[in-house]
Amino acid sequence: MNFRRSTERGIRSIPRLSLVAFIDIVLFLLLYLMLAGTLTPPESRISAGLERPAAASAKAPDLPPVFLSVVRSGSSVVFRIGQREVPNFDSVVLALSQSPKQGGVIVRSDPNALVGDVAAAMQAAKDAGFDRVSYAPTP
Amino acid sequence: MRFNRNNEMPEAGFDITSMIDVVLLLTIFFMMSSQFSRTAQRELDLPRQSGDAHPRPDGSADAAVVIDLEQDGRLSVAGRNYPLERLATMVAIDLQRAERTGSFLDVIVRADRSTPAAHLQRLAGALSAQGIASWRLATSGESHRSHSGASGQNGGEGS
Repeated sequence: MNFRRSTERGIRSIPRLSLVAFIDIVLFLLLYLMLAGTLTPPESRISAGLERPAAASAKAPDLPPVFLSVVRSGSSVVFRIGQREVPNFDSVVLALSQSPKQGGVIVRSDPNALVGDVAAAMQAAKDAGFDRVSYAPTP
Repeated sequence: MRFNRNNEMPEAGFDITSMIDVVLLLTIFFMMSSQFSRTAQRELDLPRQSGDAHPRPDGSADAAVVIDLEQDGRLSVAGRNYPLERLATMVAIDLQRAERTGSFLDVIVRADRSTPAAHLQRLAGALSAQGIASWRLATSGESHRSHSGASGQNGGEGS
């Protein structure tokens, strides 16, 4: 068997790979990734717990949690920390930052409130320095 | 004078080595930076909050179940609609399976910011009833602070 193909003047010919198909695939991948990548907006997350009424009453925490309620009437939204009404996001952050952090925050929402309001309440708690933020499914 | 020495004209060509280098570099960059899992997700107007200051403080998740919640309360995972109870059961089964294999599964809720919170409450209630203790709410990553002042207009950022 003769594996050595044609040799001219004693120099071995180097096998060459056709790059045409390779370049086609790479350019197609590049185009796809550029389109798919730029059309996807970046997202963030707010980590939260899910409050269970039965479990919450079963174990007594050292410090009671701070209850943050979101109530919406029409186009205006009001936050309540306990029974105290707080007018806007920055005031909520300020008020929560002065509260003890060990008990965490439980966010409750009025059924008329929007998801954006709930997210704002969770964000306010996070911005105030609370690690434990929970959402209560039922008011 | 003999200009034409030999009859074999050299074939004109250009060196494509540097072009392939650049194209491969760009391909690798886009492959690393793109997130393919979002291609099956619904296009939603997420709440305009900056999110966690320190993302994922409790260790990295091995995988995530992403639940899309639309304005009318429809729930979907990977583009497929599911009724609430079935969805909650599916997520619970996935979490148990992940727990058995020693991995950690994230539950991410992507909800439109104009969705009534009643839908979110129902979803949270169903997940909580299945024993799911933590979740993550997806936000757009941009802060709304620049237009704070009026109380909660423009579909609920509670500013």
